[in-house]
Amino acid sequence: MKTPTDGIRIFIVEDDLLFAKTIRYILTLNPDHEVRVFKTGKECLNNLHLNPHIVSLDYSLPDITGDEVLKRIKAHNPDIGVIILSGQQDVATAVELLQKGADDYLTKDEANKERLFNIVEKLKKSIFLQKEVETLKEELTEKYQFGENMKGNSPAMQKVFKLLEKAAKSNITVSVTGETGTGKELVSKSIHYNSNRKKGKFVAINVSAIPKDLLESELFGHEKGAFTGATTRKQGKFELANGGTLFLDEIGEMELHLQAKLLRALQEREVTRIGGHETIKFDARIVVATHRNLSELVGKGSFREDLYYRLLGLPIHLPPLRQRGNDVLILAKHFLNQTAKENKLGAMKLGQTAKDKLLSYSFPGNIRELKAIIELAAIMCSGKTIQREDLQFNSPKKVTNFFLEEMTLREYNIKIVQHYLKKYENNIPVVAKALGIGKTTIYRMLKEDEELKSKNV
Amino acid sequence: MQLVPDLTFLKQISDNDMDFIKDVLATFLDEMPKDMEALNTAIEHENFTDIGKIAHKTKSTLQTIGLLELKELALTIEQAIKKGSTEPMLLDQAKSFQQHITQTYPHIQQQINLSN
Repeated sequence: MKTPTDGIRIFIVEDDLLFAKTIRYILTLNPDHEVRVFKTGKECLNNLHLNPHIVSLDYSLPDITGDEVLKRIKAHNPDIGVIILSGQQDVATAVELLQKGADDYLTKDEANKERLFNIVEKLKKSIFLQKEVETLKEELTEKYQFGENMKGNSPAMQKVFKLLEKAAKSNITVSVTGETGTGKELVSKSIHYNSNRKKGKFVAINVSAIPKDLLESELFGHEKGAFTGATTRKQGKFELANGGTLFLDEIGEMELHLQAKLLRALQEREVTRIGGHETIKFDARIVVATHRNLSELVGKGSFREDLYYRLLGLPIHLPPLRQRGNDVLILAKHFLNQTAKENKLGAMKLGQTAKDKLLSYSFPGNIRELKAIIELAAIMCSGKTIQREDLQFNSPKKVTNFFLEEMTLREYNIKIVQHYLKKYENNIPVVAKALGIGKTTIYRMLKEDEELKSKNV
Repeated sequence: MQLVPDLTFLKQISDNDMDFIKDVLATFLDEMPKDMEALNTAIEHENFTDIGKIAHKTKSTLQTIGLLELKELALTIEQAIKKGSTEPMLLDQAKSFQQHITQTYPHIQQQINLSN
């Protein structure tokens, strides 16, 4: 594994000057190490602005306790590696200090060349990994800039972008709704990586993908022995997301009993692991997503109303692709460029016939479906221009595109009513409300349609 | 009581870098008298807390330059005081420790001279 080869700044905090010189000598055998010695805790703390990577700290200092110095070093920068050097073998103290954030503990008897070097090398690797993680996070932030991965000029998407900016600037809970494939997870990540929580983790959990009996443990964690199979302690997603963002996808699939526990956690901002007694505070922004209509689920009694309002926060609805007009072409071009680059296909473009076909399709699978269609078209296309015949629409879902067929106005009306009845599971009052017509109108239209069909048979 | 430093550790970590070893020994001769003066004051005032602190502080130095018996004596004094002992015998021990330390100085100087 690589380690950083630019200067590693090391502080030695030690009132025994002779011992300090020895440690310094050992550490400067590596020319990459820039070592400074401080006789007191205060001198060290006054020089933290020099940003040491590692501090070798005597536990018993004349002015402040090593404990206190450790605490203040970590408060200044938790990434500084701290090695405690103590004059006595005290396992309890060692464990306590390691729990308080020290990275290693060495008695002065053991402070020989090899041990010190090994500890410093281990810390350097961890510093290097930390730098790599930070670089990757910066790259992710660039990747998730609004407008980079999320494209669209349609009025619907311009509204979404405005809401995303507001969400990113605040700590508010965000609820993202939209059909499958509209980009709910992408939106959630974009909010995270454009917020001041971007250095924290983005922790995602898809409620529908986890077996119901394991979901509670996934969310809240468990203690060792809490149930059969719990062979070790496990942190839940709330704990893992501390300082960052917790994304709960398909929140509508959560069972009622777990919704109650979730509500409590969100209200108190603390969780208890299964089988545990300790309450663990967390500080995470919550983003939820669902393709379902949560208020409807509340009406049916399968989603708690209090949890619904707790999760509502800043609602962002992602429009289906068929309502985004020319965004289809913007996205198609983006996916085409991406696929061409990844597969070294050279510059490709969309022909007019392909564009027309794309604009007339309803994309029941939304952006995910569009991406799959374009990727396949790019690979299968014999030339550099995607034409109509290169595009294959294979969606298992059929969303009727009324305007491809010629019908009478009455027939269009019946089709629309039938479409909405299917969408809302034959709930006539809801359909009537959605269409802005009376229930009796719906009954009449259906009856007329039945009568007409039986006449034609 | 062993009064001649054992430089094995210093030689091992420095690959016999005599300049470094001389510097360390010279530091001993600069710093230890100050600590012993403080120890003397602490003994006179029967300040066991300070005696314990100084004994603790000298351990790493004594370990480094291989005066291991003196290091053990420092440890004994330190531990007794930690347990709360304030017996007069402890003051005698501290005095003896101080005297032995002082007796090492010519041997340390000799080591410095040898490496010139």
